[in-house]
Amino acid sequence: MNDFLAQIPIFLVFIPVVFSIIIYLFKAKWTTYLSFVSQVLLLIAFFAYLSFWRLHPGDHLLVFGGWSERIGISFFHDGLSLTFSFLAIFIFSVILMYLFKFRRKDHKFFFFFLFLEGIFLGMIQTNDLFNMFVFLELTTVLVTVLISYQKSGPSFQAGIYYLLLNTVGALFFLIGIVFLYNVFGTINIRVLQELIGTQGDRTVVKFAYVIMMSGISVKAALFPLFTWLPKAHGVAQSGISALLSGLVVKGALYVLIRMERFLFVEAGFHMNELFFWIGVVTAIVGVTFAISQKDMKQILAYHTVSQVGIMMMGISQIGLTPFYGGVLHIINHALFKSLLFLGAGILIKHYQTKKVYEIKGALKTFPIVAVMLIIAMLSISGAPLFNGFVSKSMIKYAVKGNFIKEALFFLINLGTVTSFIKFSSVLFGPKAILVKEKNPLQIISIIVLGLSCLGIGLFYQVIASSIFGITISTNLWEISHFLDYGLFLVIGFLFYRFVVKKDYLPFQKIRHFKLTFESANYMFVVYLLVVLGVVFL
Amino acid sequence: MIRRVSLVVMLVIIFGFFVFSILDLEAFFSTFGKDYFFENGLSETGSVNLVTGIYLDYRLFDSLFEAGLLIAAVSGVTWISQHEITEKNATFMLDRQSTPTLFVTFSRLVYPFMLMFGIYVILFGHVSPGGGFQGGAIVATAILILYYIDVQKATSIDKILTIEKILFLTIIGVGSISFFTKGTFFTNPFDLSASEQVKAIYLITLNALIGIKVALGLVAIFTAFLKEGR
Amino acid sequence: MTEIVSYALQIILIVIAFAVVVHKRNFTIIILIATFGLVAASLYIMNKAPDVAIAEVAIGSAIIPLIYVISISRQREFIVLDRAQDGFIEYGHELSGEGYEILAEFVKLYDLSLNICVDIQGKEKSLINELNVDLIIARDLQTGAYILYGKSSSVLLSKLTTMVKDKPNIRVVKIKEDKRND
Repeated sequence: MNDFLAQIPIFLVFIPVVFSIIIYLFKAKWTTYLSFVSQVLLLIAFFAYLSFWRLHPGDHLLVFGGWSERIGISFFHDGLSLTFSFLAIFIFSVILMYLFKFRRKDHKFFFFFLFLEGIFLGMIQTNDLFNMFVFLELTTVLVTVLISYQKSGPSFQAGIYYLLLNTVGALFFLIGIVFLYNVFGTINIRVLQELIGTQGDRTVVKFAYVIMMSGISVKAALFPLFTWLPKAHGVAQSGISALLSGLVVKGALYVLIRMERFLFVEAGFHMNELFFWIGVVTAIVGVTFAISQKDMKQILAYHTVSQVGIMMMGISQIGLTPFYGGVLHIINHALFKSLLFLGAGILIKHYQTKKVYEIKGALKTFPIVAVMLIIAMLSISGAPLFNGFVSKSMIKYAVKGNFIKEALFFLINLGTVTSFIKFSSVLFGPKAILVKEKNPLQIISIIVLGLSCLGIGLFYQVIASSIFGITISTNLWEISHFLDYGLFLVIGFLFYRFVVKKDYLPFQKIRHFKLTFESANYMFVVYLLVVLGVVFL
Repeated sequence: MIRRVSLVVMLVIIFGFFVFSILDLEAFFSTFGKDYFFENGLSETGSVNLVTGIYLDYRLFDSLFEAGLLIAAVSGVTWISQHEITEKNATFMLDRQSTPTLFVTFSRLVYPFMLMFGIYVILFGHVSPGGGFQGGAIVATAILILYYIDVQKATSIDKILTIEKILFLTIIGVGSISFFTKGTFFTNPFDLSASEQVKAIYLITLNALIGIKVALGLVAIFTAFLKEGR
Repeated sequence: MTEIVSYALQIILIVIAFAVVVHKRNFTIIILIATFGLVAASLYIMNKAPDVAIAEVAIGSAIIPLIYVISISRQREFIVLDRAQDGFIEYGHELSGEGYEILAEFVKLYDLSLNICVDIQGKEKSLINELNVDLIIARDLQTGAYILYGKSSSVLLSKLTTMVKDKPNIRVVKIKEDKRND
């Protein structure tokens, strides 16, 4: 029995894949309900494996085919990968609930959706570099199809832009893998982690590091390579936007963590400062663009970019607290960004417009949705009692003591608060007369996400100790936190009233700024050169 | 203009680092993987062609998802190029020119040989260079020659995609048989001590399935392109 | 000896790569890509990797150029649906008429081939979105002007608008893409 339980990770990958093909093959009306069956099976499998994992502390490596570890493909599970797997299953289930009624009759949609889920779970668990590359390419192709699902002209443009830019990044990742295989003779991540200290000074290893990190930065939407993200969000359906911004970008960040923190850590490259500053610049640029947008989904899209910057600020530090803060922020961001996109989707569908200033009265027309949106906005701006507060406080440890960094962090938070005050203008106003669609599953999905945000915010001690094994000593109920947050709100509101709402010329210019594909390629080469310079000097 | 010059300069610098690191590599590259496969490949997998042995036995998990990538790409392309049109409208976009007679005759001559060569490459993948993916591409090219002879011969895409997905499930199934004989997934179900001929049965089966699947996928993509809007 | 051949092939590879970037005509680029695949395949054989060479030849020189050729030749057609059918375009032994002259000049600018049809059913909007018809000629019965419907996201249509700006009896109407809000 133990033998079988150890093989469960394979089922985590193959259950969605097999179900997706079955749904595609049988075109009867009831087969789309099988997607719920697959989610339930996944949850059962995950918890069975989790109990097995707890009982056998030394036994987390699963090699396919029984070959030696240096030759065959293997799956490795530690706390990080299990957390991400659960997050992925959770968010896919919630988005499935949201989308189900709308896409009930569309079998091909469920094929792409469930296939993506299986592939994503595979990418998180794998321990083999080339396998990771195959999964990365597969997510790129599947997300392209999902982005351009509506088959209109702008959808195709955004989809092809995404596809080409990400394939370039994945290709560079592959070249790095080729170098590493030539140097070490194996592409197993754990074995490489031990061996890399021996040859860490060689130019080949440094060059491999540079191109692998550049390749994966495209997918993780760091500055200056994030231009595909706003375009993709402008044309995708809200459920797919939530998936893209909430999970796919996080998958790329997971790969980045594996490269930076696990694979190359012995080589001693000391890139922490560079990635910290890249994170800062990403965050500031993202927040500036977010403030000047008038389209709801574009505000959220640029906001994702800036939050990714904050995550990089946390992840790049050596000390434990900011690193765990960054990982916790990844989890939190997945939850509240999906909530925001799903809530915005409901509003857009009923009001039939995407502009922020044209939607009014959401609080009275859609009370449940509005309350959940308020919860999400409080979480994202770091209000105490919600989950954003926990992760942002942990990341704050990275900037303590350095005045410039603290000032920049303050500015980023201020920009966040301002852009969400702008977003919240949809809530106020008179009740609108609209035809409402009855869709209880959508409301349930939003409530689940909102409650989980609140839950992590209140019970963070328990969660942090069970996932990471650390204890957080911040006291939640100190008055100073609430006062700090109140101050933020006031300054943000004043900034919004007197600067942003007037829509001065710089904001208009920023709003109409577009980056063509050749400029994006040029930026990629610049980025590669900058990282190359810092590594070799 | 400045942008182009700076771009060329940056690319030259990166290329310089590339060349420098490759020149550095010859002193210390490790042959661990190569030595292991040379010594044990034939006896453990049963295939003379070590590349086939690697992608069908040591790294079967990867090949499954390469095949899956082909399915995803084919389904995506088919989805994007499908339009609902009424039958009356379909006639307006027929090609105005027909293929020249020389071309048709030549295709009729070449087609059986191409098909046979493709099937040979698939089935003998474990003995001579080739294998499922390569042979599948050659068989697909052979079938595409038929389209040059007569455009009306194009079959419906839905049937092709259905068969392709059933084949994918079969491949996963064949890969999983080893769980019942050896206790681990995704390897040769026959024991390590069996003779090479017996182990080759598994290789031929998998090669044939992958070959047919790849051929169908590529034919589907091509048919989608030909038929778009028709 | 093999060293020299190998180096020569690699230099040819770099030259072909530059040529692909520099050339402007699409068909030349396709042939260069196929040649690139063949030269790469011979280099693979010289480095003792025949499996990779077979795959490269089959896919890079047979299937890829085929797909490119079909999509490019499909793009070169400019499809016009004539719903007015009253003299704007004359169908005789050769096509002529006021509309035909404008369209002929237009397609010559962009090196496309004109394809005029008369017998397609359906509403204008769905035809342009779904079936890739590029232009629909209709007659407005009240004003007597000819209306040309086209896709709003197409860049060619703006050129056509400037061309017919000084003709009072011809108007260009752009149909926006169906932007479904969620």
